[in-house]
Amino acid sequence: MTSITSRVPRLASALLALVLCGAPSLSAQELSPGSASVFRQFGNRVVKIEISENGSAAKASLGSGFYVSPDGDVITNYHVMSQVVHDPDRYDARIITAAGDTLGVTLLAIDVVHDLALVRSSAPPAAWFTLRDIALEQGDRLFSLGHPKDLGLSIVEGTYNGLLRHTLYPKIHFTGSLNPGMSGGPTLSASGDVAGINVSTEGNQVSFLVPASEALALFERSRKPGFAPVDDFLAEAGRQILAYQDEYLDLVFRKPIPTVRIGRFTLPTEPASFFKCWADADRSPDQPYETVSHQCSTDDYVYLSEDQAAGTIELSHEVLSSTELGRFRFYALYAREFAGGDAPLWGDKENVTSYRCVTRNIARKAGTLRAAFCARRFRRMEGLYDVVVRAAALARGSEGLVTTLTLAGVSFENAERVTRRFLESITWTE
Amino acid sequence: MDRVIIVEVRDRRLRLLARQRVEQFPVRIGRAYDNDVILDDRHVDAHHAVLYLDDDGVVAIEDLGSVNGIRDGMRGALSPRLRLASGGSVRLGETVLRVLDAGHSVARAVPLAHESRLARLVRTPGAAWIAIGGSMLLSMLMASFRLFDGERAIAAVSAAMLVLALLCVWAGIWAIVGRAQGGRAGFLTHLAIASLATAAGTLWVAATGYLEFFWPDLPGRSVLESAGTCAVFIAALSAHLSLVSTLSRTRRLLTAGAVTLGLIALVTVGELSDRSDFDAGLHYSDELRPVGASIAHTVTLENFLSDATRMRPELDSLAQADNAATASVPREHRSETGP
Repeated sequence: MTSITSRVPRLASALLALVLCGAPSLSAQELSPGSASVFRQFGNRVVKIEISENGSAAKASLGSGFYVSPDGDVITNYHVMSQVVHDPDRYDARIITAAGDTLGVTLLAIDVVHDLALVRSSAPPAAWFTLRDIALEQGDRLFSLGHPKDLGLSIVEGTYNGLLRHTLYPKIHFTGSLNPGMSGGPTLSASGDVAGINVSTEGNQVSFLVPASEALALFERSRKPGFAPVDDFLAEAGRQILAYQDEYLDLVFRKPIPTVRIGRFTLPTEPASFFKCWADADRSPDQPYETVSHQCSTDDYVYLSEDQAAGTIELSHEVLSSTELGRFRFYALYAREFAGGDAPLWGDKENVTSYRCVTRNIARKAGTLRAAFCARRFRRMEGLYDVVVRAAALARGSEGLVTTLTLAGVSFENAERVTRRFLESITWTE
Repeated sequence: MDRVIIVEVRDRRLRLLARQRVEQFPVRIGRAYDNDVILDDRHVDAHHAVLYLDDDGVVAIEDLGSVNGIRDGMRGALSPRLRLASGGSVRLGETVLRVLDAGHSVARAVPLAHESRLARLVRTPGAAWIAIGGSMLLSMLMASFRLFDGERAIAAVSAAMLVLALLCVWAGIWAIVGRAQGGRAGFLTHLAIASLATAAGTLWVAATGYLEFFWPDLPGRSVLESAGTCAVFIAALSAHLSLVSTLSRTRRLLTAGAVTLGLIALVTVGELSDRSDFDAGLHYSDELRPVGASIAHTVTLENFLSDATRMRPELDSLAQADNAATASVPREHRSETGP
């Protein structure tokens, strides 16, 4: 079961930036006559982007990008550039053109929510794409370009399969094999227009693209009069997440939250269409109690760094019951479950502070809850917090509920708002 | 010659039965009523032995052809004749005689007020065993609440046995100290004191757990918890000290207090040196109790959220402090996160 219990890359689909640690061989692609012509015609507009640490000569990670203006503007993924965003003193980016020239890179703008970055190379390109909105139909042939596993510029043929529904923002479902290193590369229509930007894959030909319209919006933003790159891109990423989050949390809480009944508890579930839910029960005959668990989490997240994400929401309920255990033993078990194991969000001291918690017994009409509200701040992004709310029902009898709400990278106000809705919607019959 | 000695009559467990002052020699010893020292022991002959002063003026004892003879000390060899220094003992049947010069030195008196109340509580073996047994039962009970699968009884007993083993080591150390100080070892009393302290500590932790459940936002609760644990530890240390030293009550409490403070300092220093300034864990009050939810202190959802909001400035200043700390570290010394 997927859960947001660990480092970011395990959250959902794997991002395509290649962190170098050995490059396995790539199987040969079977190309139609169309792809040969696309490759010949547009290959020289695609570049390789290498990130290296100042101290070491070798590159630390690599991705792809493509020219979108005669001035040397290049679109790539935010996650390709994230090390430079986080630690500009320590990491440098450079562009290697199709002709093999190595050029310097300046970061111009980012769109962390859609995983895009706009950079400028130190020399103008020979050829570039012109971004524009294009209409696609399911089944349309698409050609993806990039540098898979540093094996040289490659082309992958696939099909357009519409926009994903289980995501926070629209993503193109591309049926084709994207591989690490192709991140930031363009996926073209048969006519040579940019349809999307390679971003992630779930393997077995299931890959995802950022729609070209988002890249166009970012590019146009940089062309407005008075535009200047910000000083602190990380703080800018924080601001973008905050602005975006108000919008999607509104979607989550505009309507009443649907509920699910487990035992005598009525619990919130699937707050919006971009959540996925699972349920499971543990009724092993050699243990004197039963657990029924129900979890919902957003299938998508905003990538910030290898170790940090924002925008994930997870609800996790566990209903415990026992007919065998006496009340004292049942409560010892219940307290153990409430104490929980590891914190549900990973983090290191480079990115977040330690948690602070507040625990209270909360009297409500629907019954008393014991709840803990724990929060930590993103160290370098003002106004962003990770919040974990864990609550237990102080109900009669040998039936208990332990429930956890996990919010990664939210504002304190939003955390409060979601916590209120969440705790209000938990009820049970005595 | 005006030699005066004291003859102590003790049973086989060395309990004192009688003391007799002797000024004239020889001294006849046996079960018959015409003896100078009459012993109530069916393994002793009617006329068993005689005490006399030998040519060198040393007290000696001679067997009068008895059935069971005389032995040097409790388990020594049979001998027809033995010389006894002051404090020396000889065994007749199941009786032990200890011979002391009237000028034999005795240990300094322990002032009545100096005896620890806790130590007095478990002075008799019966009380000591009750304390030890009760404490073990409590350990088993507490362990059994926390076990949810089969073999519960065995696991609970082994948990209590582990506690007992640790307490025995602790009591053993005090017994050795007591012996080295020239007094009694008193192992059982020390074990009973340690058991009582363990039981009190366990109950205190359980009680504060309830308090935490009832009132998670009670100010100063953690101070109360630590204070109680320290008080139990000081009382136990003071009781142990009262058995192995002649310190007054005040000095004993001061010593125990100083030792406790020292331990707290040691633990704190250990934690500080061990602690990185970052902790990814959640530390909240996770107590849940089976009874009393209806009388627990509660707040409204709004109050809960406004209490939660109060941590925000703290988190913000924490982030600033962390950033300042990182900025002051030269870059080469930062942890490497690269591939």
